[in-house]
Amino acid sequence: MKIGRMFRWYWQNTYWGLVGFYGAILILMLLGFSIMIASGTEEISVNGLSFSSEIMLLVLGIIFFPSGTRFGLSHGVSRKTVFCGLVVFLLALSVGMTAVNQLSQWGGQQMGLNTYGTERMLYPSIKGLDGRFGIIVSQIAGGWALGMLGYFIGGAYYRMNKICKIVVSITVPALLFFGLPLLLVAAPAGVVGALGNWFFSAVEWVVRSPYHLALLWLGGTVLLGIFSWLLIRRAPVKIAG
Amino acid sequence: MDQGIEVKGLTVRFGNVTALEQVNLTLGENRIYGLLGRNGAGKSTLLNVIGNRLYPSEGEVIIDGEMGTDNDRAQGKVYYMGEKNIYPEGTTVKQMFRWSKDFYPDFDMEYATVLAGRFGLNLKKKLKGLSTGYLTIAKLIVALASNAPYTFFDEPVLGLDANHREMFYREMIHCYSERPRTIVISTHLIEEIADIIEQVVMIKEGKILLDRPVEEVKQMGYQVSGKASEVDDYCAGKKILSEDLLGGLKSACLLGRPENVPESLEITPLDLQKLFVQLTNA
Amino acid sequence: MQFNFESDTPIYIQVAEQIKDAILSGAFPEETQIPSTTEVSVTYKINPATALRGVTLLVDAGILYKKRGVGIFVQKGAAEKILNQRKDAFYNGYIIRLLEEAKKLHISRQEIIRMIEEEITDGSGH
Repeated sequence: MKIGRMFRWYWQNTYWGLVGFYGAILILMLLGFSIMIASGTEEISVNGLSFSSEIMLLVLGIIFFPSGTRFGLSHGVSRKTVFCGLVVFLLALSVGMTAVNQLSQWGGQQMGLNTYGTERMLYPSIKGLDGRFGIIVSQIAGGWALGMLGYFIGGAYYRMNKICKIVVSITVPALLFFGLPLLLVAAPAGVVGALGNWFFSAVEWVVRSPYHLALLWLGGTVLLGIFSWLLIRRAPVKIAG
Repeated sequence: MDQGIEVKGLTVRFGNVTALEQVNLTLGENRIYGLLGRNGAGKSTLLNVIGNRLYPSEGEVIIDGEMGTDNDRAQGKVYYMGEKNIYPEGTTVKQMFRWSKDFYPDFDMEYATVLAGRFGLNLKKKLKGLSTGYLTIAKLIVALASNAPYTFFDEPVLGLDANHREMFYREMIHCYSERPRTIVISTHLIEEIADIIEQVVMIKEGKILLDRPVEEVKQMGYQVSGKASEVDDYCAGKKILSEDLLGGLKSACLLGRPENVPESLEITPLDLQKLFVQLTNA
Repeated sequence: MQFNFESDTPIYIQVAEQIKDAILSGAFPEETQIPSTTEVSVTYKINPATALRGVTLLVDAGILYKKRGVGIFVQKGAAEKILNQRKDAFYNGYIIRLLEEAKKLHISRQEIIRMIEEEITDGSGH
């Protein structure tokens, strides 16, 4: 089936990136380990593995929209298969990376490094297998969501013409960094207060359980998936520019 | 239609520009088509839509009886060789061949390797490191070795030196003779392919101008030359495509077949290139 | 073999004529195999269907024959057949035209014969 071939193509183009990624992680861990040995008693924390993986997936998503669309459409693969292949691939990759990350975390812990610091901070009440499982699920979902976000961003840029690209590249960051704070400052106190309360209660809900976070991520994945599909369903083969 | 590609009412618009308008075309099994048109006439657009690289605004493409657009199975029968480089950064020739094999099961890896040797193409080289000519050669080899039932060559000899052009035509004929398929060659270098193609399809400004067997097209017109006044007399009332005057010697290209030509005038055939220029200029 | 792509004669007929030339000259001896249509089309860069058409023309005319699974062969007696055909063509193409032209120019029968004899003696004199 073509979705399998597309999946394999995505994997073939990810392989070396992963080698580089985990190579760097390994070096960092060894560095941490060496420092720990050298300094003696000080405890070294190595965290952020899942966060870095999510960034990796985000970058892959951004790259794969243009490259996968170009390649797939030129090799007799339908847009549907290019898309579905990517969605499944991102999920599989997220699962794989989460597995590797969990093992690395555990391995680092065995070596004497503090690898569970951030987790304990976020989810102090989580203990045991169910808790671990919850964290795993939320990490998989997070990776998948970030991958889809990247795919959406890659897709938006792919479909936009030059003018649009310039406009978006300026206005989106401007809105985020200037528009939003300006809005919060200018809005009436009551509105800001209500928004703030809503925001904090939402955050509180999310941190209550990793499963809640996973749900949030999954919602994002579905939404971004729909938008990405809309971007690819009529996409042409375009070269960069 | 069981076998073959049918294009019905195909329209492609890019914003305000209509690249193709209500195009109807049939590509039969196992024939070599010449798709002729000026730059920007719509040749690439047409082939891109059939090859699912471009989405049509209106109309449909039917491949071997099923809808061709966004259809995995139908598209597995179509190979489009074009100008754009659609491979990721760092792809080598060898990798390009391997991927072609993955997606086109009839791809003949052995033949591709032999061809690479004949053309002097280094399999280990990265695509971006190849000259224009050799990048074209790499793509040609893949197209030839793909054995796709519908293989489209879009400007296949751009950047190729005379030797390599010869080699390409010979290999293509050999391939086609040993294992027939439907081939479309899109080009404006008509002379070179005039005796290889079986059917001529001319596109002008997004519309099909002509779609006929090459023998018929060659008979569509002729050239008459001689003393200017005599040529003028002969041409009176006939459909003149063009005229050339050199001193007292006049040459006129006419549509139709020669009839009652005076002994003093010379009749020569109108070659495909001349006919094409005349028809697409009108 | 050269094909005149400028000529009005269809290519497949040119192919047939070239093969006949080769048979006459002995390049394709009788009862031997001629190159395949693939070889012909590749060498002269023409469509294989065209090459096949030319060959088929000669098969139908009894100049060539097909041996199933092997290829195309030159028929026995093909050279003589072609020679006779060409002699007829020569007669119609040259002799009759010569006489018509001579008539227009008011050249008498004796003059024609004298011209021919002169040319032959001159030629063999070299």
